[in-house]
Amino acid sequence: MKRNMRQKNMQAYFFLSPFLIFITVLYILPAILTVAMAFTKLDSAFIWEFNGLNNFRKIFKDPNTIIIIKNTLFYVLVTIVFTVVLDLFFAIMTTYFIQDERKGNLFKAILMIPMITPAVVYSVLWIWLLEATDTGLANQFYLALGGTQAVNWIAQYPFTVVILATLLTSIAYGTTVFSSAVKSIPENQFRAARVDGAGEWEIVRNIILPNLRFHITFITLWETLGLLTNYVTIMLITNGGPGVQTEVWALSSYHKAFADSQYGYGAAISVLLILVVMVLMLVIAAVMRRQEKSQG
Amino acid sequence: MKKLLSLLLAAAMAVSALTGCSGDNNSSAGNAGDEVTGTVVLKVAHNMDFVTIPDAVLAAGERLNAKYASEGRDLKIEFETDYSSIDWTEYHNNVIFAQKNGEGPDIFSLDSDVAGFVKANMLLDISDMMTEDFVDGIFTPFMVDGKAYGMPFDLPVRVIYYNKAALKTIGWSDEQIAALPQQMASGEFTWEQFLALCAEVQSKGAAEWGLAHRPGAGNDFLDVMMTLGGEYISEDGKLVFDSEGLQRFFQEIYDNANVTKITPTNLSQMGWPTINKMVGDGTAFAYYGPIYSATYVAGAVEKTPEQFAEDVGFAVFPASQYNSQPFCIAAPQGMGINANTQYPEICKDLFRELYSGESIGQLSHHADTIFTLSSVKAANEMEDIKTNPILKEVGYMADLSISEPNVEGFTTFVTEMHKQIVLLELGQTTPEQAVADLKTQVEINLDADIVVYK
Repeated sequence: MKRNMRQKNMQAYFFLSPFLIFITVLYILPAILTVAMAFTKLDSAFIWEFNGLNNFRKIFKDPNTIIIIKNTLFYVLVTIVFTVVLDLFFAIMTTYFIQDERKGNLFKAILMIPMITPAVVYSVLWIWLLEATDTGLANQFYLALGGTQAVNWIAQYPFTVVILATLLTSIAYGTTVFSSAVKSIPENQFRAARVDGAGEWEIVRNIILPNLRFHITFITLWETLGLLTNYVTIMLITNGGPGVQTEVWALSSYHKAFADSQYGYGAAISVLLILVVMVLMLVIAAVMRRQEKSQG
Repeated sequence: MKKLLSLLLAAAMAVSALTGCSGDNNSSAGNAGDEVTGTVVLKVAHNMDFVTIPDAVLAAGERLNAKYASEGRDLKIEFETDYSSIDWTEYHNNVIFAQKNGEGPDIFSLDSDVAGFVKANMLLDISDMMTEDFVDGIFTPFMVDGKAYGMPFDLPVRVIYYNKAALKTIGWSDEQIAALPQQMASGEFTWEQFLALCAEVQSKGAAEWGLAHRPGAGNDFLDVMMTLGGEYISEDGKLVFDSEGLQRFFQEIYDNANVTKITPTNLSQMGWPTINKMVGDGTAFAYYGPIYSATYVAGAVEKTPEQFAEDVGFAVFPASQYNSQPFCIAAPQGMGINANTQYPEICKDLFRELYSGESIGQLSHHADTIFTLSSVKAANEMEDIKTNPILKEVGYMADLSISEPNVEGFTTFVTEMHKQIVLLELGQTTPEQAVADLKTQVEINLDADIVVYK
């Protein structure tokens, strides 16, 4: 029995090993090199000159660092709160309230459109929509509603714009996960609640939400991870500006490395982000373990 | 995805570092000093959409081949080309990585970071090519530590564009309009008067905006700062942080957008096509930028060079109350020879063929195509340039042109400066705060020994 088990494990390891090698070569090794690079003065000449902790000193000396940290926290917290609330809303609406699965799926498919649209196309649409001239679509509405002159939406409300744009691309994933979770709640729980005279809001609050608590934790952490490391939408719509008003941590690393050719400095910023991401990954792993235990 | 790319980049750099960054070329060649025979394949790399620069090299190759054949020499040059149209930083990195992988180009177009290529040991010293054939001082941007590392192929000056039709609308006579460039070049018509003119044209409805500029970071802004007496390069070739000059420049940027309102506050949020169209169709009365942008501006409004020259005039940056000397900055494009090429002499022969051989016409053709003067004196005397409707009007600018040396930290300075320009135009910072914030970023991002603080 034990031997069979070990043999089965070996087979699994054998099938997994190509992926492990792939990830090691493409992710873990470069990550280690990024850490090494963080202690260098690597610039456009690409010569490795170690400079100790200078890059980290620079990060902490830069007054923009505080602004960028605040931006990152604001961006992640606001986006995550709205994402999870909307995910839950859409999941419950399309799965619990709309009993016709085809109609619910159609709605979820519509939600997926921003997610599956290439980031460049999606961002250009936002820029076009919010163009600061009379011909911009948002301004045409605004002027038709009595506005006196065209508004420079992206420059005046940069964070609102990037959060909205990010939000629309984020909700499909969480909605799909929550929908599956709602579907997996045994029907007899709902029936028992109705027999006891529970209203729909009480069912949502006392049956659906408690059943989804691990999923909510998982999605919150997962999306946080994504928001911390993904900056493409921000880069394409505001490029971190005006000034550093929408500059977030990951984007600042990209700018230092690829726009300013300060690869060592950019790597140092990345290293700090990697540390945060690693802590979050450990938390996700712990949540998964707890979930398994509670289900087991 | 970007993160993955940056990690891959890191891996590539590490691998190249470990393998010793060999830069051998791929074709057969003898030892140093041996005469090269047979077919030699040279790799030519270029960036941006106008390819008249590398095409000139290719044409020079054909002439050399004909010359070798006529001399009975067993040598034929062939080319492998690698043209791209990407961001210059990306191009710079691609060239260095190609070299580290042993596939670097033999001849390649240079970006403004010549010092970076020199530090990476990628450029051959071609100081022996600094001959009388070239316009004086044209090698300056390609000089590092007193040596020339690139050959200038043109002499594009950065100038002020202005719309002639708008001047006519506000009542200027043809003679007055025709005289304006010379008045600006002589110091008779000052920068302050020009700004007042921009405001007048706008207030009289002859143009929607008085003055426009590029949407992103660029050296054009430094021309305005210099007009206002600001300094950004010291005599010994170091970056200068001139607080007073910057204060004046930032104040003007702020005022233009928020006080006199001759510049749109959202100009930096507009794309190149919008700005080119604004300049081409007269929505903006004036604009400052490289003269070769005229190709894009004319294209944006579908005008021929002749039609464009009818509508738009060009002038140098005039004198001001802070700077008595009118000027224009020359920012030549150039190519360098890989220090690791197996065929340095053949590459040099190609360059010589271009500036002193029968292929000079290729340089005048390039200049004619992108509306710029040439770096080579003889090319400037050729029909292409002499009859170009735009160039024939700006030939005098060569005498007023200044070439900027290659300065360490310049890119960072210009990038950080532009962030402040955006905020100033949007009215989200003050000139004083902008100077203070820019100084902080320069102090943090650039080593103290490469910046002179004034």
